[in-house]
Amino acid sequence: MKGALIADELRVSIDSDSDIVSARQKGRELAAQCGFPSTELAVVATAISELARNIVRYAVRGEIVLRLIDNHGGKRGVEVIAADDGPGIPDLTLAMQDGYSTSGSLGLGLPGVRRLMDEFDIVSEFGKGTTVTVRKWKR
Amino acid sequence: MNPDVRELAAEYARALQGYLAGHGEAALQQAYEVGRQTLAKGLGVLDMATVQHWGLLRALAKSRTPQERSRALRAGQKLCVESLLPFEMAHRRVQEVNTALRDSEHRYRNLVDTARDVIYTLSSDGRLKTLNPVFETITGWSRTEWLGKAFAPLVYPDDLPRAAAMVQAVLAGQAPPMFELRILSRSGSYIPGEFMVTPQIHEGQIVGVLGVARDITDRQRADEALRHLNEALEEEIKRIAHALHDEAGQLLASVHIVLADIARELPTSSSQRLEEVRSLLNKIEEQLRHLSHELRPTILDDLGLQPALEFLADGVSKRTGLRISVAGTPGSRLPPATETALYRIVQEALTNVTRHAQAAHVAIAFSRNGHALCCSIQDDGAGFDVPTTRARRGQRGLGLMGIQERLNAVGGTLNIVSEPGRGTELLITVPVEATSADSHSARR
Repeated sequence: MKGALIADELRVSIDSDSDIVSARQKGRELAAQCGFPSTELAVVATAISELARNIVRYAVRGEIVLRLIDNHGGKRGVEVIAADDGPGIPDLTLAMQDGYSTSGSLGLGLPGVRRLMDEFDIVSEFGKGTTVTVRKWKR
Repeated sequence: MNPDVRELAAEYARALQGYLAGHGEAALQQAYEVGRQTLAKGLGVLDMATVQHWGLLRALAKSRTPQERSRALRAGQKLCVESLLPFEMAHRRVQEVNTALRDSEHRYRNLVDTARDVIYTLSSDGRLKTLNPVFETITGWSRTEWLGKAFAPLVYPDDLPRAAAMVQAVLAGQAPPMFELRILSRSGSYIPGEFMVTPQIHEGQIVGVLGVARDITDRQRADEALRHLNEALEEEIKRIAHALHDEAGQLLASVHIVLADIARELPTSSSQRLEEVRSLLNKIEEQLRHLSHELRPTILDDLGLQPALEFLADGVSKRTGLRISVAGTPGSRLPPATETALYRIVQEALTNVTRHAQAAHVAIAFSRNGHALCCSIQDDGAGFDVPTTRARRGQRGLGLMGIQERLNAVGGTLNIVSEPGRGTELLITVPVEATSADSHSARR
């Protein structure tokens, strides 16, 4: 489901662990504008945590873009785009399996984010970086 | 308290204190990390609850006023959600895995329940643990009559040693080749089955046998029918050969007598021309005799395969100009069915060569290798792409199919080596020192 942007997007560059906190905070605030209940806000913050953690760990630096979106049918939601120009992922199918990384084997990491959010999309080119786009719609 | 839990509880308490001191999102992230670490250490949700409870008690102990206590409780609730989120992710993973497992189990069940082959498992002491529904259709037994019981009474007594050996091999971790057993049906008759067995493994240990058995009644009937058909064909060929040789030969003899009568009544100049007719008639007679011998050479029955093939090669050479050599020897006389099969195969191969190969030379060579007789038929002709031609059901494909079927009937194998532009070699192997009936039932 493609969403239309309904407010200015927020960009947080991710460079260190402290940037993870500010990305979470901005994401939580933005999602709060949609009227998400507080547990769902925590879900959005968690997804941002995992995505930002991946950037810091595997790509060193990147960016998280946060947007409020509309599905043209009055449904609102929040979109999180995590982009880096790091080494990229050689095998996406493998990377999306739970056993691929230590966090994945616990159900965290990218597979965990996919399960928390309503929509999940990943594009990665080996040597050119990775972009993960996730969306959560308000019920 | 578990030292890990104690340490995590202290960290969680610091996060809670931090949140109360206005650290906001950083404190929430800290609580989330505590949840993540709790999960990573292999601790459970109840341990997480202990961590949360302990942290909250610490915060409450430091609260002096009812307002402070109520703030601490609200903060505790927020951090509680954050620290539970890693567990939520792990929980969703388990749900997804369970669903996938259920689907997979369902697909497996479907496959086993609708399979046309019998799928069964045996415990290590040879008792039937599972049987799929088709067992009932094929054997007429109800599954409950056999589940939990030893499999041995189901097997034809003569086949039992083989069955037991295969079970032992599998339990010893080997993967035995396919084998045949006759299985007792409810009606008392025995059903021929082809078996494939593998070890059944549970937590790295071989705990039993997983077997797949196919009812090969129809295949055996088809093989039998084919053998009868080939026998009938041989009889028919004998009849035609006889008609060509004896009946047409007698007619020709009568023509000679009549011609001799006519010659006496004709002037010398005309009888010269009659002599030409006689000579042509002799050639026809010679050809008829040769054709009749090729069709069903009495040589094959009287003298054996090698003289018969030399005779065949000679005839084909004369007709087509193809140079044909026959080397080696098939050795002692073979069972008639094997000799006939080999003769027909070489005949079919030579027909193929003259029709398609544009070859100049064909080499037929025999060699004996223990219980196997090998025959190679090699030409220097056009060659062909083997898989394409074998798949084709056209003239050429049928020829090769015929060769294959004749070999099946005597337990032999066919190997074709060919490439466009590189000639063709048919490599034929037949078991010897066994009658054709024995070699058939010994085929696995």
